[in-house]
Amino acid sequence: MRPLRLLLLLLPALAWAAPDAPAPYAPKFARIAQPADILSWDLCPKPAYPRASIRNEETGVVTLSFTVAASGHLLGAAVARSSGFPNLDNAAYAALTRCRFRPASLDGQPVQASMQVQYVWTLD
Amino acid sequence: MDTRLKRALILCLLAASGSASAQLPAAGSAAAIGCDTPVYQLDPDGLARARQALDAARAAPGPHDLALAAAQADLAFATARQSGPLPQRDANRKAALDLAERAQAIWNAAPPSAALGQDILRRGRTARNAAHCPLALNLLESALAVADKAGGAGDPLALSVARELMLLATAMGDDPTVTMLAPRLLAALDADPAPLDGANYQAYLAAADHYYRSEDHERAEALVNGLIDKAKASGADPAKLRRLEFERASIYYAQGRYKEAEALAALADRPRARPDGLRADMKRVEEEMAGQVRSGRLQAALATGEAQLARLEAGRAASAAALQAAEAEWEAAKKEGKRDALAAARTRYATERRDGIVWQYGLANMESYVGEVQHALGRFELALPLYEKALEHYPAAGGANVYDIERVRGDLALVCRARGEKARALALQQQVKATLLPLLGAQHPDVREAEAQIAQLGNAALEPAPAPLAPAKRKK
Repeated sequence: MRPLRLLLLLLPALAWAAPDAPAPYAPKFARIAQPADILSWDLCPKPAYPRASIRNEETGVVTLSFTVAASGHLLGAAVARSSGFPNLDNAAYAALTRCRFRPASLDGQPVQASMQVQYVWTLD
Repeated sequence: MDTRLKRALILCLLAASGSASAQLPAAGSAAAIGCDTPVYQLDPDGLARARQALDAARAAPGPHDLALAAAQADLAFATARQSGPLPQRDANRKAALDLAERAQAIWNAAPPSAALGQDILRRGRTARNAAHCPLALNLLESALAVADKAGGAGDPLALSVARELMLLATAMGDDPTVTMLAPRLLAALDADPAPLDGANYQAYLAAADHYYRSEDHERAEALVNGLIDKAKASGADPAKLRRLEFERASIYYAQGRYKEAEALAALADRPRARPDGLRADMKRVEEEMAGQVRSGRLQAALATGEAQLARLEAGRAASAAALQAAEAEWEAAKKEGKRDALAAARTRYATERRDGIVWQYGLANMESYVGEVQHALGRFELALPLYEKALEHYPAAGGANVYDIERVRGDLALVCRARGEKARALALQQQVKATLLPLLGAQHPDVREAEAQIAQLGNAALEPAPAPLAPAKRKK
């Protein structure tokens, strides 16, 4: 009887330690043939320079990361690198969310993809 | 404001890999209504005059109390625009809206006329031009109600007010008003006698945009098609027509009519800066590898990636040495104090630093790509250290690399799970979720994928832990 009891005790441990049968993995970097894009800058409202930022002579570069769904809809956007000035960051973010997008594609089919855009604010 | 200041905004679109960049022209903006910074003015005399006029109007309110309503509207604007400390301005705004509502009640009860509608519209425009948007909205709503009663919904004045109200409500983000006006503009477009330009055109575009964002694509398309027909009939300039075609393309994408959308999007003019030699070389190899993977030639992709990894490692080492030399040169130039030499040394240092980041980014990307190929081949013990190195090598811990980093972290978690390291896999997926959730929201597929993994790993972790084994007794 003793060997059988030992085996029963070991089974849960084996179940925990045994690797899952891994799902087939397709390299993600190869999924996108044509990256997502702003459909047309004509459809992107150019953000107005925030008045407070002009007054304070704020300048800088805002990098926004965003994800475009296969439908061309914006799924999410975030300030990836701040200009250091919330007003400029917010104005760029608000403008990007009003844009229209061309989805990324793979083998002639639209797919979801992430992109980045930079808004460079300058006062000369 | 210093009028000498020139304001510029340059937009750059970066490829997801960060290896290509382009500067794109800033496009013309829509008719802009600013609501963020109302114009204030300290004018106690003006305020006193408006109060006196209201007192006089109370004594002699005129036919149908219209003189009283006019005085209330005048005092509303005079109150709203008074400058002062923030709490005072807030109180003024509320008082102004209260006065405007009282005037609205009188106008609604009065016999409607085009003249009255015009008068209220003028007041609304004045408030809007001073960026006192809530007051302007109230006045334009009053003007629309009067114009509707005076001439019907198809009346040119009513339509004009509806268009202006649509633009104002859009600028304010007032969704209920936009939702109420959009069907009206859709119905009115064909018969609208006003020329399709300026604010008129923008109002219809705002209605189409509302439908697009509400995912009511049929109405969005109907509006855009109507605009295209009208633009063609009136001989509109090609730029306007092209813009409308892009608008239509975005609707087709959303409807899943991908090929039709692509045909329209092909018209897009996308000027792109050519990537520099280093980035272009990296991009070329990445595309070659991606093509090999897509055609199922994983071994060929691996060979391409490993050769590129060796080049990138050598390049990064050379770049680090060059950066060190440039830094030394800059320090020496600082000591010498020669302006030209200092500027040249600073430029060289900046160039080497930028190149160093490009090498490092390329290396991190390639490590993750080769890791992905090893992962796909089922060689988890080879994929794991490559993913770990990639995470270590991305130039920024978050920021611009955030998606790349979390993609690699998610892959690392999958490898850990496949190797049976479930606790580590769970911690990594939790980290992916914690980073991406605030950036992308709960509905984003990457967030949901991380959540699904966490749920599966969490359930596994909740399974009863194995009982400790009793020490085996030696047989005697």
